[in-house]
Amino acid sequence: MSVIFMNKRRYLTVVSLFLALLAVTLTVAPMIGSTAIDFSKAFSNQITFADNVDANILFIVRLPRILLAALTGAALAVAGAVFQAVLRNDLAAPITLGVSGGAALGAVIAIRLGWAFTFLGFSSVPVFAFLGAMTALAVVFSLVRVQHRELPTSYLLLAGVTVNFFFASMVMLIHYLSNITQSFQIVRWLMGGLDITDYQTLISIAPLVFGGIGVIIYLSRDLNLLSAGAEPAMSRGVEVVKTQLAGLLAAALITSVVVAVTGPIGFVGLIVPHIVRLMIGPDHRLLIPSVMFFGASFMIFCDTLARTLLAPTEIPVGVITALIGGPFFFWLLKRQQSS
Amino acid sequence: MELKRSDFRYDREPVIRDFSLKIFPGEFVGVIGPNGSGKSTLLKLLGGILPGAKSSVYFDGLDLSIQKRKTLAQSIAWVPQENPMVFPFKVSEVVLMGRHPYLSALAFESEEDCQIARRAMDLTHTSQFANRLFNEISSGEKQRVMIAAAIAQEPRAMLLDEPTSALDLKFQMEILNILKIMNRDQGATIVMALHDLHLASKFCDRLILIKNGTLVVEGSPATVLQKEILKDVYEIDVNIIRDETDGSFLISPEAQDLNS
Repeated sequence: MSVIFMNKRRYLTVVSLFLALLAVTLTVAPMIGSTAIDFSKAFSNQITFADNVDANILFIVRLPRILLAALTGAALAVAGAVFQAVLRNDLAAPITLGVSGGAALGAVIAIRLGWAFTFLGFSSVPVFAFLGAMTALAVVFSLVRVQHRELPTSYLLLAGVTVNFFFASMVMLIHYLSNITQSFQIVRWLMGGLDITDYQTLISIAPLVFGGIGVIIYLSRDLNLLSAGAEPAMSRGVEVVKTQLAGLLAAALITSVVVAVTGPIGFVGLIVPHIVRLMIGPDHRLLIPSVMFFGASFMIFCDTLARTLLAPTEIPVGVITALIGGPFFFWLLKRQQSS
Repeated sequence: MELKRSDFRYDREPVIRDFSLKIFPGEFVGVIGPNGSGKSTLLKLLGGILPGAKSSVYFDGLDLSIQKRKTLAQSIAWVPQENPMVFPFKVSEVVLMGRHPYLSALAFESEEDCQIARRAMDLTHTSQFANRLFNEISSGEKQRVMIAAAIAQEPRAMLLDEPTSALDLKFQMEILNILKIMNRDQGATIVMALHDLHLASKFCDRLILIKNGTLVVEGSPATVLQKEILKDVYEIDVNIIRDETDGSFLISPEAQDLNS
């Protein structure tokens, strides 16, 4: 019996299928919304852009939002896949590890201090979000290092919950000490939303997200070995500590840049890697790009629901992902218990 | 391969103490000793997979700690006693991971790599379940798959931690015969930790007996497997019977007199 291995052809087929899915979602989503758009008008040269309502809705309201959804979904899902591989744990994700919580705290501190000041050309919010995410990650990583052996799920989740609680209390405290305007900003931000965006924001976060994902793609075969155990990986030539550090740093970076803009959007980083792994297996060379495209499509899908379900009222997209993700997380826990 | 006056401790508890050891190319060495004596740790030290270990281990005269992991992995393979996988990798994928040290970051395995993995699976009789999930096969099958992955790594030395612990008699012999063939035909150096003293004496040129992280005695099976030595190390009385067919030794623990 001949054994069939992974090869370039299978890789290209699978990845282009997921890319096609994203292309379809990207095309369909702008057509759906609370207001019907006439596309012939939107692309017409006869009307000036300022007077062209259809073009305005399409290019100023919907498109940047959809692109932000794509970036956010891709970043959170890839980060989730990396956390799961490096920590060798099914339930690791930005939200369960407290990384999103850390980023949230950082961002809230920045909002409280005022949006205005910038740091090395970045607005203070993403910088603080990144610092917060790194703090959470440092706690988790110190656990991995000290333990050296397998980190039991219960231990990891407990650490994540503790970190999340701590950061959530801090957020509450800052919230409590804020004035009405800041308080409103914080609440809107914490709900997780994609609605306040423009092309400038997109342009500033896209390079960081793509850079981070690039690093992760470069590490993808190392991630395969790492997910099969630190010591076996080391004996097969993986620079384990360096790979863990690079992977976790890149994952924290992409998480925090999107969280800084959208607020914490839960469960995407947990669900998407699992769904894709069920479809195509755990090889990270395939998994990472597929998760990226699927995460982007999934987020656009959730956001389209958020925009249209109760139109003209909008539901924060974080609510939709949590409503889908909560039960899914529960199912995962159940399944892990029974195995 | 050489270990010079090495110590190793987990959480300040010394596991290996002042240990010096030389292993020559092409040797078939067995590491024996009671539970918790430091056999596994010794193998990991030799493989250079205990980061932060204050030990000087040399392979071909070169200090392990200053070499690149990939270079090292092309020379030395390590087979753990068990290797739980979190994710649903297929058996063939696990074996192919043995080719990692030969591939650059973004490369895919070549047809040649796949051929090497196939041969390793044929040799270990794991081809028939190549497409099954690693997590779903028996522990004996897992051990054979881990050995296949190590063979695919094409190392000059293999370090194996209890490679036969989950295997029945037939597969024990099969695995040890495979190692013997690797040793004889390809000149691979084999160092394995083993509980079964009889099998150790059957296959190994040299035995290293350790207790509490220190070397008790080393030498040919006949020198090491002696009544007094074993009583001292294992704290039981044994009878040693020589199997005349191949010169190996059967160790028969004396029944305790439960009435006394």
